[in-house]
Order: sequence, then C-alpha cells, then structure tokens
Amino acid sequence: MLHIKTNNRFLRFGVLLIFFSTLLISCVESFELSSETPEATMVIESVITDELKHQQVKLALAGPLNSEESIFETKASVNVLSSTGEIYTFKEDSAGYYSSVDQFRVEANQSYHLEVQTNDGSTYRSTGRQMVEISDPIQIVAQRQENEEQVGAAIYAINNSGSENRYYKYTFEETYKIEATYVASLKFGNSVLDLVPVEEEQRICYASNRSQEILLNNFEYLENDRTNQFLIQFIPNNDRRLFERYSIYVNRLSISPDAYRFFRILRESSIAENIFSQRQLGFIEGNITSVNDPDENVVGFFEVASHSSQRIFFNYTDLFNASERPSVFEGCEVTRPPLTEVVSDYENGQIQFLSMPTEDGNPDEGDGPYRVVPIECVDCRELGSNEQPDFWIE
Amino acid sequence: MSFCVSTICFSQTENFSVSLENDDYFQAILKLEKLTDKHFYFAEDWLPEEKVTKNYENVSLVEVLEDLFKSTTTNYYILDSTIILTRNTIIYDKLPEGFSRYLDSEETHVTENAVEKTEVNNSPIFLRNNDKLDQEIETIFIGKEEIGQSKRNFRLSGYVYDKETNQPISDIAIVTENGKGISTDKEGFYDINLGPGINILSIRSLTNENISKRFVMYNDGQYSFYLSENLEQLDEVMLSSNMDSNIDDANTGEETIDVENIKNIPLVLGERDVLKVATLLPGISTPGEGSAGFNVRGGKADQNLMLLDDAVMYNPAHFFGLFAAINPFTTGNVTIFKGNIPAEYGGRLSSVFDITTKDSDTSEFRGEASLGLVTSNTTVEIPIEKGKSGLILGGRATYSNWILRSLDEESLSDSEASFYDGIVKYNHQFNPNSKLTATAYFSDDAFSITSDSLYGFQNRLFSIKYNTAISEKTRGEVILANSDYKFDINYDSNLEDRFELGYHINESEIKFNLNSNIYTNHKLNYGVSSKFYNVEPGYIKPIGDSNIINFEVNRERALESAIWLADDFSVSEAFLLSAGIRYSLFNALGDSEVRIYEDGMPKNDDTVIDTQVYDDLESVANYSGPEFRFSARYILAEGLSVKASYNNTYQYIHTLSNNTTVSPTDTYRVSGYHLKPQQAQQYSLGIFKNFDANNVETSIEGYYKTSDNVLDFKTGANLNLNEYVETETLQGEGKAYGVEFLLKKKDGKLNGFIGYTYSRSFLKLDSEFAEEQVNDGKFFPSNYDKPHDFSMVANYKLTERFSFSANFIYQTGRPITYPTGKFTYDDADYVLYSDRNEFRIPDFYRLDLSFNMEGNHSLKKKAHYFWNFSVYNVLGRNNPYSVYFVTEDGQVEGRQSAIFGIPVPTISYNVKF
Repeated sequence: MLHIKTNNRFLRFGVLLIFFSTLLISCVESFELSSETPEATMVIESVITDELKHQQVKLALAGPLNSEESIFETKASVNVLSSTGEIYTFKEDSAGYYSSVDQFRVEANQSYHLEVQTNDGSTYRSTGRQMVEISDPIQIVAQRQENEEQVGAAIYAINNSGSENRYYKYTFEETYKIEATYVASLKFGNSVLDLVPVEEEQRICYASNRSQEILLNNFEYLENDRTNQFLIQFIPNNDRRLFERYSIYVNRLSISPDAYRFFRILRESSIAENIFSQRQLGFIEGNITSVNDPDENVVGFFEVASHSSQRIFFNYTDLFNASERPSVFEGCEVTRPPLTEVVSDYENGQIQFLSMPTEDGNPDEGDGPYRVVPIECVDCRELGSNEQPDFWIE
Repeated sequence: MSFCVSTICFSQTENFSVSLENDDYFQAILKLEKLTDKHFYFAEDWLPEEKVTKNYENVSLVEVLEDLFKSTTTNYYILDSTIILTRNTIIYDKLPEGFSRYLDSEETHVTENAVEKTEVNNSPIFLRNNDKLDQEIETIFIGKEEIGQSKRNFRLSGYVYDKETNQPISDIAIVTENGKGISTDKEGFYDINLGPGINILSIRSLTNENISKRFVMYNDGQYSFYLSENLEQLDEVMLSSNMDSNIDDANTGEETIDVENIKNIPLVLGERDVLKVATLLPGISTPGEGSAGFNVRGGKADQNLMLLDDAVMYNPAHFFGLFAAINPFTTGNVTIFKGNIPAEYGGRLSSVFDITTKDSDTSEFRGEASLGLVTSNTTVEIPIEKGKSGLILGGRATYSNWILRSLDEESLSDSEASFYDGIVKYNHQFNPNSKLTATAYFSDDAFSITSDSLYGFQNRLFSIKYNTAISEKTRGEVILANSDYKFDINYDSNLEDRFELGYHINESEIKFNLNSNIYTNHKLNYGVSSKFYNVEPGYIKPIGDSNIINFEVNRERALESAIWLADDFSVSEAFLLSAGIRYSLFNALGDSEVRIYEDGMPKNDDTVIDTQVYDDLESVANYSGPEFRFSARYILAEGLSVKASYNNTYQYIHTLSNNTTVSPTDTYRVSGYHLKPQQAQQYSLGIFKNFDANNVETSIEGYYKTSDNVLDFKTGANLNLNEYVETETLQGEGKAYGVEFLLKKKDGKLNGFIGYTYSRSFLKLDSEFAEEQVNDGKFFPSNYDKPHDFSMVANYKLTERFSFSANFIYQTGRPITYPTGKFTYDDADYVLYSDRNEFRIPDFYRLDLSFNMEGNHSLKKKAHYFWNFSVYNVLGRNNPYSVYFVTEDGQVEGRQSAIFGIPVPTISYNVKF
C-alpha cells in the first residue's frame, strides 16, 4: 500500500492546481496527439506463474498515438526455456496472443527465460528470471467505508508481510449481476409496428470488467510480520455495479524488485502531473533485448512469479441498508412519446417497448401509442450478458 | 616629528611640569601659554577634538608639543615667543633642495600631476595660487605632512554612507579628475591611491547626489562621504551599476541589481521580486513561468550558489517559485556572477548570487509596509546606539490559507498553503575601520494536497561577519555561517500506515577573507574557508500507532575547504588583469557503508561484490583540484573596453530530482565514493561600450562552457529513501555556448534595457551499458536549452510622480520528451517515449504593464507611499508550462497546463515611514 501512496503523492500537488484554477485561472487543456508513425517497437508482455495452466505471451508493436487499433506481431516462434533444459513451446491462439502448447507451472529454484523469434528473423531474449518464493495466500475482503464525500464498498487485499520485503502486483476481474427494472412480455421486432414476444432472458444479466491500471504495493518500511491492507478498489454505493450481487476475482503476483520497478515506472508514466513540476520522461527499460541489434528499444518485462488469488461475492445489503440504494426507477421513466419519436428513438437503439397504454394511465406519461422505457431498463443485455458465468454462486 | 624644527629653530630649553586632566586641546594650550609665557596662534577648529589626560614633569615645551600633537594632523612651529599651529602643513624655515627649480617653473606647468611625478626626497607639498582652491567645493585636508616624506602616492580610504539612513552605499563610483576610478564594495568601503597635494574626487551615482570634493593629501588618511538620496532620479533606474563599472571592471558576466529601484517593474500578485528581475537579464532563465530554480548560462539549477549575507540559502523560493523567499524590503544588493566567479567564491559551477541585507539606520526609526493580494510585508529599522548600531527586522506572510478556506469549494476545505519568512540583521560600527554584522533568517512553507498529507519545508540560516582594518593596507573579515534546510511530508491516513518522511541538510562554514593594497597597482584578495556538511538524506518514521518502521538512509558528512589568492593587477591605466587561483579540497567522511560494484558492469543490485564499512569521520573519498579564475580588461578608448576570462570550477554538492524542474522535495547530496564532483570550465569574451556620458551601456558577451560529471538520472529513478542512489544516477558531459547582447539606458524620461541571448545547452549521458545511456550516448538538448531569449524592460516617466513600465519577454519553448507512439500493456494504453528532449513546448511570450504612482517627495513628509497597478500577461497568452500524457480509462490523452493563462491584474500599496 505504502509505495503506491508515495508514488502517487510525492511531488503531486493537485490541490494547488485547483487552488490556482480558482484564484488565478490556470488552465489545463487537452490537445490533439500528433499522428506520426513511430519506428516499429516490439512490445512483449508475459508473466508466467506457478499456476498449472496454458501460460500466455503477448506480442505487439507500438502504434501511432492517435490510432485506436493495436498492431500485433503474428507468426512468431515463442519459447520459454528453463535452466534445467526444458523448452516450453507456445503457439499463436489469436493474432499476437500465444499460449503454451502444454500446461505447465514454474518451479522454485529454477531460472526461466523467454525467447521470441519474429517472422522476419529478429530474435528477442529476456534475462533469466527466478520465481520469488511462494507467498502466503491472499485474502480479499469487502467492507463498508465512509469518508466525507461518499459511502461505498472498499475492496482490500490483506497480505501478511512475513519476514521479507515483498513486492506485489495485482489484477482483478469484477463481475456483477444486473436486474432489469421492468419486465415486458412483448418487444419491438423489426419495426415499432412489429411487436414480438420476448423469448430470451433479458431480466437477469452479468457484466464483467478487468482492471485497467497497474496495481502495485510493497512492504518497504513496514514492520515484519504485520498484515497490511491494500485497496484494490472503491465503489460508491450509488454505483449500479453494487445494486444486486457483486463478485471480484483478485490475482496477486509476487514479483521481483526489478519487475516492480518496471511496472512502477510504467504506471507513473501515465498519471497526471501537477502543474509545477514535470517528471523526466523517457524510454522505460525492461529486461528483454534484441539479439540482432542491442540498441533496439524493446518494451516489456518477462517475469516469473508465484501467484495467489481469491474470489469473493457480496450483495448490496451485506454492506449497506436497502434504504441507501437509489431507486431502481431512476433513469427508467415510462413515457408515451409520439409515434415519430418512438420510431427514431428505437432505430437509434435508445428505447424498447414496455406495454400498451391503459385507459386509466398516468396522463404525465404523454399520449403516444406505446409505453416505452430506455432500453436498458427492460433488456439487461444492453449492459451485460444473459449467460451466468460458470463461477457464479448465488 | 620634525627633527629640523626642534634642533635648529628652538633655543629655549627651560623645563616645566604640567598636568592635563580631561582637557580639550584649547584648554591645554591655555595652560601651556600660562606656564611658558608663549603665544599660540591657531584657528580653533584646527585643533583635534579629543580630550587629553596627561602628566608632564620637568619637560621642555618641545617635548610636550611633540607628544600632544603626535597622532594628530596638527603641526607646530616655534618662533621666539610665538608658537604657530598649523593644520597638515609644516612651516618650513629652510628651502628644500630643488625649491628654486619649482619657483622657476611656476608660471608654466605646475599641476598635481607634476607633483605626483616629483621624485625628490623631502619634497614638500605646496598649495599654489593657481590651484583650484577658490572653486566652491569643500576642501578636505588629509594626513599630517611628515618631514622626509618621499611617497609618490597616498592612500585614502573610507566609507560612503547614505546621509539619511546611514546605510553604506555599495558600488558607488569615485572618480579622480584624471579619470581614474574605483567603486565602493559591499560595505560601502573604498580605497584609492592619490598623488600628494590636491586631488579632486567626484562621486557619481544614479541614486544619490553627485558631489565633488577637493582632497589635499599630506599623507595616508581616511574620509567618509555622506550622500543624500537623489530623489529626482529615484524612479528611473531599475538596474543601476557604477557609472562606468561595466567598462572598468575586469569581470565578465557580472550583474548588480539595485533592489530599491526595481519597484517599477510590473508585478504579479503584488510581490516585488529580486530574483525575478534577475531572470530578465541575459544568460539567466527559469525552467518555466513561476517556477523555482535558475539556469545560468546553460547550467543546471543546482549549480548556483545563493548567498544571503554569506550563508547558503538552499531553497530561495516559496510556493514552488511563484514567490522569492528573499525579502525585497530588507535586501540591499544583489550581485550575480555568471561569467568569471571571483576566487573567494566556490562550490558551484554556474554562478554566484550574492545577496546582502541592508544595514539598519542607526539614527532614526524607519519602517516600510506593503499590502499585496496574497502577501503582506513589514520591515522596521531600529537604531540601537545612535550612529553606531541598529537592528533591521523584516517579516512576510501570506494569507492564501484564509483564501483557500473561504472558497466555496468543499474539496479545498482541508487544504492549506501558507508561507512566511523573517529576517533580523544587526549591524554595529565600532569605529570607522571595524564593523560587525549578524543575520538570522527563517522561512517556512506548508501546503497540503489531500486531507491526509501535509508537506512542509524550512530554510534557516545564520551568519556573523566582522570586518576590520588589520593594518594600514590590509582589511580582513571573518565570517561564520550556518545554513539548514529540511522538508517533511506527513501522511496521515485512517489506515495503519501513517508516517512522516523527510530530509535535512546542515552546513557550517568559517571563512577568512583579506584584501591588501600593498602596491599601488596590485589589489590582493586571499583567504581560506572550510565548510562542514551534515546530510540526513532521508528518513521515515511512524506516526502514532502505525505499521511503519523507523528507517533512515545513512547520514552523509563531509568537509569542503578552500584556499585562494587573487590579484587585481593594473598593468597600465588601460590594462587590468585579474588573476586568481583557488584550491578546493573535499573529504567525504564516515561513518558509512559503501557498496562496491563489479568492475565493467552497470551498477545495480546484481553486480554488488562487496560492502566497505567506514568508521566515524574516516575518510571515504577525497577530491581536490585547482580552480583558475582569470580575467582581463583592456580599455581601447574612452568608454570602450574589451574583456576576456577563463575560469574553472568544482562542485561537490548535487541535487537529486527526477523532475525536469525544481521542486521543494529535491534533495541535496554531497559527493562521495560513487558520486564524483561536477566540474566546469568557461571561456568568455565581451566588448563593452558606453555612450552619452555613460548613460547608455551596450555590451556583447560570448561564452563557451564545458562541464563534466553533471548529474542526471535514469528514467523513473526512485530517489526517495534510496540507500544506493548510485544505481539510479548517471554522470555525463555538458556543453553550452551563447552570445548575450545588452542595451541599457540608465537615465532620462525613458529608461530601461533590452537583452537578447542566443544560447544552446547540451548534455551527453554515455555508458557502455544501455541502461546507463540516454539518447544512445549522444549529445541532446538539456531541459533548459532555450536558444532565443529576448527581454525588454522599459519605464517612461510622465512626471516626477507618475510613470509607466512595461516588460516583454520572448523565449523559445523548452525541450520536452514527446511520445512517439503508444502501446498496450496489461489491458491499458501507455505512451512510448524514445529520445529525450526531441520536441519543444510552444514558444513563450508575455507582456506586462504597470502604472506607478508615488507620493510626494517632500523631505519633510514623514510617510512616503507608492502605488503600483500592474497587469501581468496583458496579451493573455496561454504559455504552456508543462506538457504531459495521461492514461485515463485505458486511453491516452495529451494535456498542457499554463499557470497564468489570462491577464492578471494586481494592485499593491507600499508605505515608508
């Protein structure tokens, strides 16, 4: 926890930015990124662990700043070699994603390195890596947390420092249940004049997100054998993710100080700066080099890590009072717009049929031909998948 | 004294006894008249003012007179029963040899020069009819003539003071009739060699009255000038220097800022700022608008020696550099050496900012107060012993805290940002030759970002200086100084990891500095100094019940010493040579543990082969070297000179920072086993030309500078609490060159200056290991490489009381590292940076205007006020301060920030009483 804080907050003077924007009208503006094409820079991403599985390696190239698409390195030959002479061969599953042909797990006291040969004959090799000793199992807890501004669920990883300095990197995947506010038996089909029965599940769905920032913490300057809580994420209690049932799977990797350094710098390179000081930026050196051209810049750190993971589930009412939950009808007003509006809104994918108006209906809804609601209020597939994930436990 | 008088001219030898008890000379003479029956002829004001207590028993009159007038400027002559007392002059009863020759030539060519050239022994000094005594200027007789006097030159020394404030005035030009000139030093002291007889000295100053006085030199002597302020010209000068010191001094790249006179320069937030004015001068720039740190002639920000009354000031900025921590009201003088650094200074590569606090008025209570939008400032001067000693107190504080709290913005309710500083200086003039000053200074900044962290930093310094005449021709000073700087960060969360983290440096110095004028054309400066550093490079400790352990990075201790000798040698009237040598010696001292890395391998955790342990005060590493400070001036013609200089410097203290700009949490570390001293050498050449009776100064100066072991860092270096910074640091070569143009008009309705600099600054960080290279080990532009730098400051005086001023600044945008692409890692987008500093932020330009209104200049008026209305950044130019890239929701976004993107109006009110 500590390191994240220090890295976040050393030399970061956000309040002054606000102070000056209020007092002196300093300004921070976004600007267009230039569209220069960078020289081809190989990006190699791989952490192999002590979990028995098909291990993964991702090969890509850096792209222009304003491009949306990723460029992958395909048709490469990828191998992980161990100090005992074993060779684990990888095959390409989809463009740029390679997984080991056989399942394997890394063993303690062995060194591994990655070798990649691209289609055009360039060879890239990592330094030899050894797994940092197997760590205590991770424990994930969710708790109600209040601060001055908001109330929400804080999800912590609880670690025990043991007797050594440890460096951890986390990834998570959260999955939450969504229940549509309304249930309808009919829906618009090909047009708004074509009402068809609802056949698919559209009341209960599940949505997932993966972590999008690098989460790191360490035990530097912490007392030995103390537990330490690391905040994985905080979700305000008015966030729809928490409304029904929420699950999070947290994967913790015990990494080396060198790998930690690489991820720390990568992380720092992407967070906002204060207006008074600017960090020195530059190429982030990893542990993979080109065999053919040692001066070539290669992005990436090949690491061998021990892992520990845990999944937890909780309901809204496990942490909060039901009365704290915002009304499910919020943002789901029923309306009866004129037909022309119904046609255009339906074509834009904004609304869906709820029911036919009744004689004693609420005159505030309008006088259009149908009672309609925003589409996600009746069809949860707008927000997730209606298939229950395998791991889901009610 | 006069052997001749007593033996030849005096025949009466009767002895008598007399007792003088606290009698003045007049009473003493009356007593002698009674006892001896002689008549004394004299003018009462010729008599010395002192009182005498003496007992003479059975002595001759000659013996009594001899003793009484021994240490006075009075001579006597006994003629039968008459005794004539004279001032300075001896009455000769015998014509000296060569006298007839004088008489013969009287009509034709006798001038002071002729007297000066006389090499005859026993040459008496005659005031001649055609000498200019009848002009209406005051005549001062210096020294007592001595029989047997054969000197060609006499030495006149003393101080120049402000008549009203009794402040010594530095950098005042004192010029003889034949154009020879010198200027007063920091203490207002001057020292000039004059020929025997009449000399007319003129004082020329822009801030004070111009006066001339006639000196009749009989011997070496002292005289102090008291000048009144030249109110007419008070407003006009912003940067004043000696009348023609730019032409006359040997130093290249020396700038003096007269603090009193910068008040017309447009302000931001109502703060008069000495150091901001400095950045308008050619060759001095800041990394960005409102940022701390100075880059002098392509040097890094840690290469400037900031001295406040001889003590080092580590962080001269408040609020990240928006305000200077130097109180403008108490500051007397700022001299900046950016070219040739005099041998008495050392320890930094690029420049010396020598800031002196003014002396308190010793005759009456004075004060000054100012109200600005963000800060207010009060200074008082309190005389302690009239005419001798006084105390100046200055304090400044901000009310931004109050502003922050009163803002209707919830997220700011917990935040604070405040600073204050205070200074006290005591000055005591024991006698015309001895003076003691003592200064204490403290500044404190505190600010918080979030409710859980509080940052703070403090400067504290103390210095004491005693300056005295050691002998007739040697003046010496001893300086004791102590400086202290620290910062801390308090992190107070609701979790169990509350901590305090901090840094602390303390240094103490003793310096002996002597100046001798043994020969008329040699001015020697020599001395020794020694400085002890104690650095606590970083500590962390728990607050309350916290999981955090106590941890400290090993302290660093070191001794930095130097010895120097410099000579200003006037080879001829036109040719002045200033040659100095300084030998500096640095010892890094234990106790410490030093990691030894495998030879031929990059320094990292994997290449450690040994750890060496050093005991308390055991020498860990020694560095030393000679530093040469040569400069020469040649006057080509009236008002036209050429100067050249070479100097090399060593620097044993470095800042650690992974920012491109200066931050209060940068730490200073001293050289040691791994960290080598930085070195630089600079060559410069300049041509200086004055026009319009020195009212217009022009100059062109060029320099070329190389440096070694300049400190830089690996990308993303973690410097906080790092015990092994050598794994993160890189040391490389620097190269800088430039040409500086300056046009200054000092006087008149329209005055000001225009400066333009073309300069480049490069760095090279090469190594055989890729991880220790930047930009493939090739030269790349440094973070402060701004090729074009133009500044203009103009004042236009409408009337005595109303004036307009304008600043205009244009600079090439500083280099930044710009992304060349982006990549995805761990499901998020990141930007790819390749070569350092390949792009530049947009050019910087800004226009500021101000209108000044001054209260009545009547001398009788007790209070004196001054209004300044300024608009900063009139054009509303959104000058980017920084450019950066963030990943938000997995997407890359580019952002640029400006500090003052719109015109900022300011009003400030000053009152002086």
